[in-house]
Amino acid sequence: MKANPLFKAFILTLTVVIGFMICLEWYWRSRGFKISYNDDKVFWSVQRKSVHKAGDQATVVIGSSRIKFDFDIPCWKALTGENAIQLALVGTSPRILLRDLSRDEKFKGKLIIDVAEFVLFPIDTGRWDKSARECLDYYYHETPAQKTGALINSFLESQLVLLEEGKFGLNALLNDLATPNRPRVFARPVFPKEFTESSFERQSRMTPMFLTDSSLQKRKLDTWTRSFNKKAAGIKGDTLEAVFKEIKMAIDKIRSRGGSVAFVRPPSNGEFLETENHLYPRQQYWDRLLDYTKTSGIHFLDYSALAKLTCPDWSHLAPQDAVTYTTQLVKILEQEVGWTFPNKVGPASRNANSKADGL
Amino acid sequence: MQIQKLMVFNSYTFIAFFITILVLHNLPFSWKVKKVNLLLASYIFYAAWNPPFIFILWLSTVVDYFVGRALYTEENKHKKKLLLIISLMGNLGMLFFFKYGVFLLDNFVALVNLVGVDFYPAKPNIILPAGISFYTFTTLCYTIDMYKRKSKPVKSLLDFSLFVTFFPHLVAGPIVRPHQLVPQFESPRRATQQQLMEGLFLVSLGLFMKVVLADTLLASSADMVFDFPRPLLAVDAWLGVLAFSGQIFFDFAGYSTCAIGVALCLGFLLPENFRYPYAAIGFSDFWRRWHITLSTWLRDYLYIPLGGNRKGEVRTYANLLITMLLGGLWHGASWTFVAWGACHGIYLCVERFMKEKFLVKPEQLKKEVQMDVMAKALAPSFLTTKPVNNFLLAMFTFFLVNVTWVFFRASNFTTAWRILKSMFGQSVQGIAVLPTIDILKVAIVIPLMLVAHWFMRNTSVLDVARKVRWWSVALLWSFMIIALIISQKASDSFIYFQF
Repeated sequence: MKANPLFKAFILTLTVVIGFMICLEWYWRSRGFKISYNDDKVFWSVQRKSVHKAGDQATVVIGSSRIKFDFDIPCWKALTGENAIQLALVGTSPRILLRDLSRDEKFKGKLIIDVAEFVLFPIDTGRWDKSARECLDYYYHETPAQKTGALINSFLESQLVLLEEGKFGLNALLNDLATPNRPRVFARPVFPKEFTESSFERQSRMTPMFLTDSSLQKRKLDTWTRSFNKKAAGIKGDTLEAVFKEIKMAIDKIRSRGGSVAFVRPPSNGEFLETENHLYPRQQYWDRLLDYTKTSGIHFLDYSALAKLTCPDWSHLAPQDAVTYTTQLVKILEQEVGWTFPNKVGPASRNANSKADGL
Repeated sequence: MQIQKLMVFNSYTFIAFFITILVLHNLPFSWKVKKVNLLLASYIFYAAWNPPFIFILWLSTVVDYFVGRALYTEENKHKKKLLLIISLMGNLGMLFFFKYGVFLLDNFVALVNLVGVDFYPAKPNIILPAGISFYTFTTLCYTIDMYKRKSKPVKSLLDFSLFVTFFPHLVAGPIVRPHQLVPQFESPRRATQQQLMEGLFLVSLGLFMKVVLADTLLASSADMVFDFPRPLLAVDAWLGVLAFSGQIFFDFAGYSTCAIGVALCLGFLLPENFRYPYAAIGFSDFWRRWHITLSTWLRDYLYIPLGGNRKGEVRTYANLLITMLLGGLWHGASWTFVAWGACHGIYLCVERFMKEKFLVKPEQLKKEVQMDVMAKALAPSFLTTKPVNNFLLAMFTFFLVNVTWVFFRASNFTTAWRILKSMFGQSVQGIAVLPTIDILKVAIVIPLMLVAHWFMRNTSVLDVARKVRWWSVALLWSFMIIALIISQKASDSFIYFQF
């Protein structure tokens, strides 16, 4: 019997597609990439839901990419015996998430707010809020179909490297062409795909590929340098006052329910820190923020153990330093801010400390 | 108004759902059991968005089934009219409440404020039931047909429910008529191998259009331009609008192609909804190619009942305008959609006027009957024989269509005017917003789309697939699926779901 031509086409298509997927998966793995989750609104939503599950025991972290790298979740869990929920979003102001948590009557836990001045005090809020708005919209309006899709998706992403859209999606591959833009056209910086990997809990880590390749690090630093605009000015006057007020209102609301809040300013170095200091002088922004909101803050420059940490890309810590940072953070939060961790287990904590100190 | 996300064709959930349905449909069950399976699957498909709204769907189905039967058998004219009014009020009432309630309230408030009355009611938080515009039109045409005794009532509630709810067309069309689908439920159907393969090919093509072309390559340029709050450089404004014209086509035609493909895999035929609209020569031609099932619905259930072209020239133009204005409003509760419809109405009127005055003899016109405007308003004959002129006319049509898309996409008139002024160089200090990579995407995809539309304008993709060598189909098919896998999940909704 003569085979249907379209059936023959279908069989050949299936063969080509399966062959292509196997080759592509092998190619990315052979380049050193490992399973990493696409850090999108679906995974964010999974973490947001666990804010309620954890009750008063949870510590929630909001901010931008810096705290996603610097705050080491396994280390935190080992040292405190408590869960940590990572809600920070890359390149996104935490203000909208702070507002959301303040309105969530069920949230009564501890909250760490990462202060990256570039995104916490933006002039153009629409640009810096976009991801947060999308995540919240998804979280509040997730449908049964999306829930099922998220389950299938997380299983597939746990098996296949090529499914990480942020690195291997068509748009990510096209962005790798790094075509120069016309003057004054805003485009989000494109970092080397070897830079980061993300766990199911949304823990970001620099990959060994990035840490051992100085050319990749240079590419990242060049991207930062190109995107710095020292002529820009941070917000001032009434606009800044309104931001402080907005943050204070949200914090007061959380505190009134029994929650605790602390600001952290993780390390940054080099030209990045220079630009931050230039645009957002500490006295006018960080110091005033703590004073206005009557909230404790941990600035890395105030602690010698933190000040000596170096970011390979000027803005994020390497995994080993993230453990050191988190270890110190727990100590400071306990000793200076007065946070308590009732579930803390002594020996486990000591082990984690040993690991954290690299001993 | 909230718009929530459905079980979209480009989701893992749908793939799992569809494979299950396909297997169930091919198991040796009785035809009735298979139909029940399909009906339950359709309800699950709908409930996967927002379960409580299934009650509205049931209500609409049950009311129209029984009212439809009564309309067909009722001899008393007054009672018949009363039944029709009940059906129209039920269907249109729901549509108005959910879709136009907030819009009407906003306009009422604006009006009373204008005359000095301080009235500020609380804004109702109404969720728009998915696909309500589509299934309302599906059920409306049934009851109107019953009233006119154009066709016989559907024999069973099961068949009628399946006709209204059949998941491939339920939430975003094609808008089906009873005679197109109901007879297919009357006898056992299973896809042949040819139909299954063609269906899978269409599903792949539809997903490629939606995920790769609309979402991955064009959406960001359109969004950047339409969301930018200041004047733009003309080139950026044009690229954004061109990107949107590609995005809206690939998004909606992609959905329709998937829907037709999914139905075909199960052995059912759905009507064609798009026929390479950007190769249209003139606007009557455009509406024979764009959202065909809506334009024919509007022609048969609005334009012709209004009098069509049978009541003199002035009424013909008025009917055309009314039809297009309401067609615009069908797309969304906003004056920008009405403006979009008005532009198309004016284009159709001008085209008809020119044809009558300059190109068509009066005696020929008299021969034209109700089908005239949307189905029969042909382009001038000398133009249809000259490919170059035709191509230029098609490009001119495309140019005008792009201008109308500005109103369709812009969230308000301020944005629409800003984009239009930028497009025609009337903005002072326009700003460049599009990154080079986005410019390249639009500059490559849109010309390719126009070339494809032009060369495919008198054929269909399945006809071409049947004629060419099987391995070339396989290469194209592989390319589409690989591009789909690489593009991954760029979006979780279709633009037309909100209508």
